Amino acid sequence: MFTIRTKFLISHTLCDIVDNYKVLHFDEEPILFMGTNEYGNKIIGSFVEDDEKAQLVRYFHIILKDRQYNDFLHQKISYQELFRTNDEIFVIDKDYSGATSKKYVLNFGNIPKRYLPSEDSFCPLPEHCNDLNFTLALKGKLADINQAVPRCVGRIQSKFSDMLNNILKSLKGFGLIPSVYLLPYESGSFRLNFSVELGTKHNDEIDLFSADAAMSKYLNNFLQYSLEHLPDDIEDIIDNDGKASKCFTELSNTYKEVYASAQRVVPNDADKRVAHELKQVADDIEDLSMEIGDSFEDIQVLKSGDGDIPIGYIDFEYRDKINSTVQLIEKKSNDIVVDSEPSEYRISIYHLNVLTRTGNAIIYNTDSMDKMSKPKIKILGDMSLEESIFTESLHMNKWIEVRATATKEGDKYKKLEIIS
Amino acid sequence: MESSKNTFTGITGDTQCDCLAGAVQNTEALFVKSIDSRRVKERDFRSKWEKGHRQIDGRPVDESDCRLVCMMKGVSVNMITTSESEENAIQKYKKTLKYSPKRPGYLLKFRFCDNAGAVKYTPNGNDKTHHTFYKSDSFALDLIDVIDIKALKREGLK
Repeated sequence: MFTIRTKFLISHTLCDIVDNYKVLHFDEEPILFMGTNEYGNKIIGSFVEDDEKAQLVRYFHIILKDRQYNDFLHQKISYQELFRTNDEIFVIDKDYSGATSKKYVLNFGNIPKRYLPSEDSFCPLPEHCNDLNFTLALKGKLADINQAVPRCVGRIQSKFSDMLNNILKSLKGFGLIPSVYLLPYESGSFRLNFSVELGTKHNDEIDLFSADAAMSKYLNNFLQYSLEHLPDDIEDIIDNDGKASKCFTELSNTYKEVYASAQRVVPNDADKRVAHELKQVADDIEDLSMEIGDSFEDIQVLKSGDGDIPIGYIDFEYRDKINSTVQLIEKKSNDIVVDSEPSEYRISIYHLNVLTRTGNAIIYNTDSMDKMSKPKIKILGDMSLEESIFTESLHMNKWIEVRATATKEGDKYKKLEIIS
Repeated sequence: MESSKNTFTGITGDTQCDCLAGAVQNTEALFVKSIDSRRVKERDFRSKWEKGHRQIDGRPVDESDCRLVCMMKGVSVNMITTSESEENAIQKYKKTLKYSPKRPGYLLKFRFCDNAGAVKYTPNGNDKTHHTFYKSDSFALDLIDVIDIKALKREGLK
């Protein structure tokens, strides 16, 4: 084993895996594995070497940020990349009885090259868990001390439930009536747990039974694709129904599998249908992403069950990407019209995030006195929103006049970019 | 278990676990295993138990946990019956080297000879051709019929 100087010795327990241990790759013994430390931080570890003379086994452990963990599990970054980008790489020596002998902390430069993982050391493909239980884990700010603003949490619950419903309703011809249930919170955490049940309008139990697994797989794949690949593939989806994207093709294939497994005719416009649903769901995801900033900083979307398996990650970076995605969809849509110059509008604000300056308002549809829309709003500029006409409208249920650029679909307002 | 000439006191002598249940002598099938060098050595067929390990996953093994005890008393091998199963086994070993480059870097293809020992089918997750080999008391390297040894290429550090 390579020698490590005593100055690198440590004694703390931060790098110890104490829970949620899971083997990612096994070859006579665990080679690549993960778990959590006593503070719930994610750790990825690997077997380094077995020194028979010294009767010691050596392991590497790296403590990961949630985003790194998500990216590693989704094969966006390699295990070697984790070595390069983390300041601390822990080395654990254990004797043949399993007792820890010594622990060290090194950096990338201290480790002999012959011990480093290869450049293409990506996470093995996980065994897919396609059940219908999901968790949104809110992280950062108030969420880390197990608090959150109730109205914000209520909107997230509602928006995510709607999103799951809409994805499943895209499976036409099954008379599907999905039901999304909210499961009890776990104490001491800020995790919203959802369970989806599939029901039908008519008595298609045989079809649904045979297609059940395929529908679950489609839902899981759709969610993952939306959170991991949609912003990167959106141009191809808009212009070409996603034909150039391998990931989109895989998603489309799971859509077709639903029909095939129920022995129904597979729609020959499957790509178009999936592309259409993705464009619709982009809006829902953008709404979810607008909630971050106030009482939490990011949302981890997980498959819950036997250990959390990350599906995707909504943070500020993703929020900007999905925002650009939605703008591009609107720009290229024939049905959506954007004001060529700002106009006067009368609105009443019912939701406002003063940190992100986004929210929702109600407005009468064009040329209507009895139908309304609930467009998203964004207040431009950087003047404080505290004690402004906007917060007054919010708190007093007051109609206000604003100058804004509107995005409309037909006679409905989708978005207002407010200037003053 | 077949072959009355085989004795296994090395396996059964120090445990209550019946590790040999379901294990059979197999001198027909082809197997592969990763080894340290271009020459087969005795240490390539030493089990973790023989080396003195009483831990797995970095955690102590409870000697009443027969699943783990029996796993450590055997030697991991993969049976190959088709080119696909051989390729799957090779990919497993190559993947190991990506994460852990100091692991054995050569592939041994071989058959067991009479009285070498017994193998048990022990699939493990996605590793559907995994078997556990239990050495007989008379095991020696000349009871391994070596078919081929080749290097498992490891992607170099770039």
